[in-house]
Amino acid sequence: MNRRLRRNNSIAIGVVRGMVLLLVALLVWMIVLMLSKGWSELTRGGFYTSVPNIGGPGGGIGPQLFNTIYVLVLSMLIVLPIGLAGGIFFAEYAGTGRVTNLLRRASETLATLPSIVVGLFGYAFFVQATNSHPSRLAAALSLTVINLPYVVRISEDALRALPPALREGSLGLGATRWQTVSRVLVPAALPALITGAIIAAGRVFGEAAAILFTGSNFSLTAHSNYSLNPFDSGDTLAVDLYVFRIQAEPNVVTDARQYADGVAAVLVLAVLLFNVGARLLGRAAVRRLQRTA
Amino acid sequence: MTAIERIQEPVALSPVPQPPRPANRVTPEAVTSAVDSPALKMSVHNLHCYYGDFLAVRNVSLEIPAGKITAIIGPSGCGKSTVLRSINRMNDLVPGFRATGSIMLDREDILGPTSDAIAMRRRVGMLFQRPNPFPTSIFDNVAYGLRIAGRMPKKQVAEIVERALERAALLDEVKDRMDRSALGLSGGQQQRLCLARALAVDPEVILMDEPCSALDPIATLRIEDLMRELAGSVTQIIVTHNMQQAARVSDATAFMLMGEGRAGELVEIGPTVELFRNPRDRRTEDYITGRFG
Repeated sequence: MNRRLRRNNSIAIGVVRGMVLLLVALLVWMIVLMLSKGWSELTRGGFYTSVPNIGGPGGGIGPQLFNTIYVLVLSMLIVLPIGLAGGIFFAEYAGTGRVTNLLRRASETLATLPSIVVGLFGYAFFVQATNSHPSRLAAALSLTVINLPYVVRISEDALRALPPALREGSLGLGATRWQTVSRVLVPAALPALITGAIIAAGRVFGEAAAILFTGSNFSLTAHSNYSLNPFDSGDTLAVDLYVFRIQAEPNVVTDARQYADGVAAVLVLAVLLFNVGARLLGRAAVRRLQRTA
Repeated sequence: MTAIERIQEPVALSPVPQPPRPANRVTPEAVTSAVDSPALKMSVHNLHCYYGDFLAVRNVSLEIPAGKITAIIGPSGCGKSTVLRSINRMNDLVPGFRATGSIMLDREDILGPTSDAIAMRRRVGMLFQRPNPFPTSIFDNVAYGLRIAGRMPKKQVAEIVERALERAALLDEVKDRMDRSALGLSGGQQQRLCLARALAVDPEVILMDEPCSALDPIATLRIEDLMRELAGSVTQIIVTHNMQQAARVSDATAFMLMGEGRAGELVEIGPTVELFRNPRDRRTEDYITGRFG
């Protein structure tokens, strides 16, 4: 019996270890593959800053990089306040009840929508219904739809994870609910909120489907501007990757394949950086809160 | 008398046999007259507490003398914390909680429909079972109650913070690191910080819910010393499952027990020395002599 238990135990541990190994191997393989394929572009001078070279090889991703960051910042500016407010509502004010459950269900359903559906919705709603054209604002709004349930969720979880004693300590001093939330709970939850926000930003960075119809102009010729007008359209890196690999505009950029490899490598690196950055910043925030030295 | 001397002082925990006397329960008339008596700070009158349908506390009446320390003792689950947390309406936060009866703070019924819980909690502070400093600096912790109450000149805030830390016997230990995180303090220091935080808003009453249960004996004695020093200027109510603590520190003691249907009931209340030496109720005698509980 004892021997059998021990054998089962080592089998279980072996299986679990194998799974983890597989996961890590997959990730490492993907990163290595993408980086090695895109290496020549990653290390090429001017790749990050110059404009796409229409009709020839050796263009850069400058405008797309700019557009990506622009759309990212814009959508975070919209989604973070709304999402935090939603999280505060669910964690501190909503309580339990039918309406709360309905709202929560709605938020969770929104989270499961495929991003291409959100993209089409964004096209119908932010572009067609407003009698407008694809723009970076419409793209940011579509990304907001994708990220909102996620930001609500991380905000709610971050607040709920705080010890109830903090809440009681504040209320026990005669603070109002809102004072407790804004002066004690949100600052205390800041490390988790920062981590969540950066991961949300990473999702924006890699999102293509939602921007395809709402922000893209499908034309590399319009890439060359660095305008700050949110009503201008603009491709992001992820959209371009799609455009280059599927449509592979060979007559526009002659080395489309290599170019796309470079874009893919940049995306992988960026998302990796976002995740590592989120962790480091979150940890730094915790240390700041608990500064003892 | 120092804490060490006090703890070494023999406390007569074994009751002297006495002829049975009628239990001195608080009658409604007594409460009514007591409200007018300047010596009473608070009085609890026919308090019933419910969590949903569950009756947790049945018909408790207590008189809390001004400037004295009243201890509430009893075994786990006897409702002593529920009573305490009703006194500053902390249980309002618990979904389904309901309290009937009246709790007078001076001449105001804090369970009454017009009572303002937030204003009341500024007058009735609370110290919790585990120290719960906010994850901010030592200074900001103590200043919190002042800042939420409204604008105040910085210099005045600093003065009050310093005085509160002084009263909580913490100033010497923290005066050169007021801007460091409160989380870097030891458990005992944190609890004294929480006391300072409560004292900063100059409360008339401080409720303490087993304030030393997470502290080592030395830190416990420091808190008890402080309680004695504050007696006179602040009315204190302490819930403790530690009978020696109640005997050491309190002027009056209330004994509660789980009664019919697991509802907590008051067995008796009286001057601490008398309750421990000559308990009127058989159940009190059994409890303090360790025959059950």
